[in-house]
Amino acid sequence: MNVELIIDPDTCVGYGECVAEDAEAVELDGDGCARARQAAIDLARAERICAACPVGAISLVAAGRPAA
Amino acid sequence: MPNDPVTVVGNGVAGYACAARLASAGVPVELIGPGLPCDRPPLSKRALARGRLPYLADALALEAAGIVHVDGWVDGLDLHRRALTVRGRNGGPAGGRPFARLVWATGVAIARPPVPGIEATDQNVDAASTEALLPRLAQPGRRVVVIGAGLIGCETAATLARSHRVTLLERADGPLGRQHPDVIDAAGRVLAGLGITFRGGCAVTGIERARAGRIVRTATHGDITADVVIAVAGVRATLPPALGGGRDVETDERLRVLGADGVWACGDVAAFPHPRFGRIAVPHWDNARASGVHAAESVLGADAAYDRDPYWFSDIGPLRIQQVGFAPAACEWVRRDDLHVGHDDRGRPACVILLGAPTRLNDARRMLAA
Repeated sequence: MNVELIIDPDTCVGYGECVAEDAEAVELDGDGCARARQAAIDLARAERICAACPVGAISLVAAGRPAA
Repeated sequence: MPNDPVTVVGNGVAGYACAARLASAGVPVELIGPGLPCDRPPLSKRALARGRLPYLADALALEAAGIVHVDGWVDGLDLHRRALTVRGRNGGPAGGRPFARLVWATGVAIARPPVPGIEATDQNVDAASTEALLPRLAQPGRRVVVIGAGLIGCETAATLARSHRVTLLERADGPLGRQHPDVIDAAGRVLAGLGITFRGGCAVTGIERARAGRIVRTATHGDITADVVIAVAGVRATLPPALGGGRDVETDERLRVLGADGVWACGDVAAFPHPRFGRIAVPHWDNARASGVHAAESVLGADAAYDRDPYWFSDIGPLRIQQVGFAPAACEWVRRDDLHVGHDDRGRPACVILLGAPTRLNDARRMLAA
């Protein structure tokens, strides 16, 4: 199952754990805020990225579904 | 006693993390600090860029969590009587407030250079000062002078350079004077690339109000006219005399303040005994959050030692700097690919700096743990 990463820019502090966990899926933008690099990724990868975030800024939705 | 109320002084990252953990365990918590709990205001790049502050919780969320918020400052601490002197944010006389158990989490305060007229400058070092500053930056193209090129000054200058004309003044010759020479070089290049006018070796002698804006007088670079002047130079102590009056207070490995029964410290102000680096205080976001939670666990009775390795990160425009470990413990530096590795006197990695290499964070941690 593929899912989409949703990153809340107001919660993200730019800690960098998500990029360290999976640099192909996430990168830091010019503000030091995380952003997804791929439209959809495998569920297990996405869950590891979510779990790595120390502030809970990353959630996921089924690929192609609008974020809540 | 396990359910005695806990008073947490300081409503930044550490204080709020501690209060939230205690409240989630059912302990009555009082959180004292001016305004709502706010996330890392000294590094509020996004607050400057977006015009809104990164609050950690609003009044409803605090109430829902069971945290009683006292909106004000602590002016005095009497450990013998177990009482605080609290001054409300909205005026009125200061009043005494007893406590049963106390967690001190006020952080360090950012200093301004002691020159005439410095009170006419702005700061972006806490929620209140940043809130006051933001309207002055609402219109683009302002002439902004930032005094102090440490991490906060450089981040502030880089953020504001997107929409304002920024001059950065620093007493030392280069920015980020306490960092590794490669970090200083990289930061200098980035600041120049962003169009920031950097004036190193600058001696500010005074600030004067002008008809429109301010005049920054210097002994080295003449007068500089500005619409907005932001001063963020160094740090100063926030601790009351009862806790030593300095920048930090010594704790044991469970973050209990030495010699003060029923008092804990966390965040910037806690000088704890790290198992490898000795007694250290780590004034950065990661330590604030982690030690806040750890102090709460300690209050709740856990006996685990706080042994987190220091880690900090900074974004100066497009330059990402990350550091794991403790730089003062390094006596020899070598470069391995895009990592700068500092070895201690036994040849073991004690600190790793990543310059624009966020994907290597776990590699750096593995080096440190080896």
